[in-house]
Amino acid sequence: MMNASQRLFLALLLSLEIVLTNSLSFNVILLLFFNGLILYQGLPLKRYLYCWAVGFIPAIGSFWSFYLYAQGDLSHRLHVGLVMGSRVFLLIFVGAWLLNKTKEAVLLQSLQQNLHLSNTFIYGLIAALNFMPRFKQAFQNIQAASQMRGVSLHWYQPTLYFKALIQAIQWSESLAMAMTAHGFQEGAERSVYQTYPYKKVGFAWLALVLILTIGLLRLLPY
Amino acid sequence: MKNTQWKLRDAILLALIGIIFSVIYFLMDPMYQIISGALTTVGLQAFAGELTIGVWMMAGPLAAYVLKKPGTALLAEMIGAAGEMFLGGYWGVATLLAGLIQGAGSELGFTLTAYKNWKLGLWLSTLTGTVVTFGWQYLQSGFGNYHFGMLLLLFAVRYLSIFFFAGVLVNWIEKLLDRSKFLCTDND
Repeated sequence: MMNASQRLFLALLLSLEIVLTNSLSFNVILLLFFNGLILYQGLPLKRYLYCWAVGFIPAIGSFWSFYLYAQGDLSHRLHVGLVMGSRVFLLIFVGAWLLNKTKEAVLLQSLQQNLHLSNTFIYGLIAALNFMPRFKQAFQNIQAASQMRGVSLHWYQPTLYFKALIQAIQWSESLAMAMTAHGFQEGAERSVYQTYPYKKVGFAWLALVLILTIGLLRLLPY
Repeated sequence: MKNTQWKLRDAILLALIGIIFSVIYFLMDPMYQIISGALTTVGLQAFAGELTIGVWMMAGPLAAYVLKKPGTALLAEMIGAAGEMFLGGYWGVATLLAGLIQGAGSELGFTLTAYKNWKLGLWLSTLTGTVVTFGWQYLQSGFGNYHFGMLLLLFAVRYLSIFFFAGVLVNWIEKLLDRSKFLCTDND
């Protein structure tokens, strides 16, 4: 229906609309819609329940904070609280929808092709993305190494970040060298194995969602 | 300026810095939950975000200092945000928007020095970062509904958090980097 870039645009568009408006009924309708959609798309139940679980405290907290300290009378404060609380869940579920069907590398590739971003940049990003799991390991190594000298490093200590940065500088040099060794040329014309063109239907969906949501917001201001 | 040219190594380093911080951001999410939960009981949950915001703004200024190129702060912050989202940070798309705003906020500080003075840029970026992100938060979290006094307090707490994490702590890391002379090979 939509390619990865279009899906990202839709998600960003929707979150902007969600953030800039104050309609409880709009939030609830979208929330129900996205819940239905991601369940229909076969999001694992565990992941689905996780989404609800993590949003719980911020949503309640947000509601409670506005309910107690917002300006205006009780019904207004209740409304603001509910809007803010539902907003938390809605943003979580729009995100869940985006991530459910989109792989990072595919998103980067399609952004590169659709928006004509620099190849050096995108390939650098993809190469670095593969180091994601390594970093967890690297942090543990750094902590273990300093532990052996009788020093424990915590997240708030600059030394930990400094050492991770040194690691990153070294890795970036090796990685760039390895890519050059494998024939990567900066700024060179590249052919692609897989193309991710925009889909016409996708733009129709984007327009439809935009019109529908604006209509909804007009109809349901509360 | 020859320093606006992006080499492959720079792009990878930028991405790696973004990714280091995306891991930190991701690990900070539960921490935020705990603080948020604790403050909820007294109805002051709004301060949870203000207290911790600084941590989420560290990638930008640090990357700007390491790479010393225009646009670095913005890009690093966005990569950090995207990484956090893909790791499974539950703010979802809101993370991306926040990353864009936070990155732009920090970037502005360095822009004000015309990308010449990176130390002054850092301190300016804590200020511009606070103003820009506060403006965004004002819209996103409906701060318009709070009293003026509460807003002032929220702003002050936010500034202190950003000043400490994205200012003092980043400056400290930069000093360590300077001492290690690791950045000397930067502009070969």
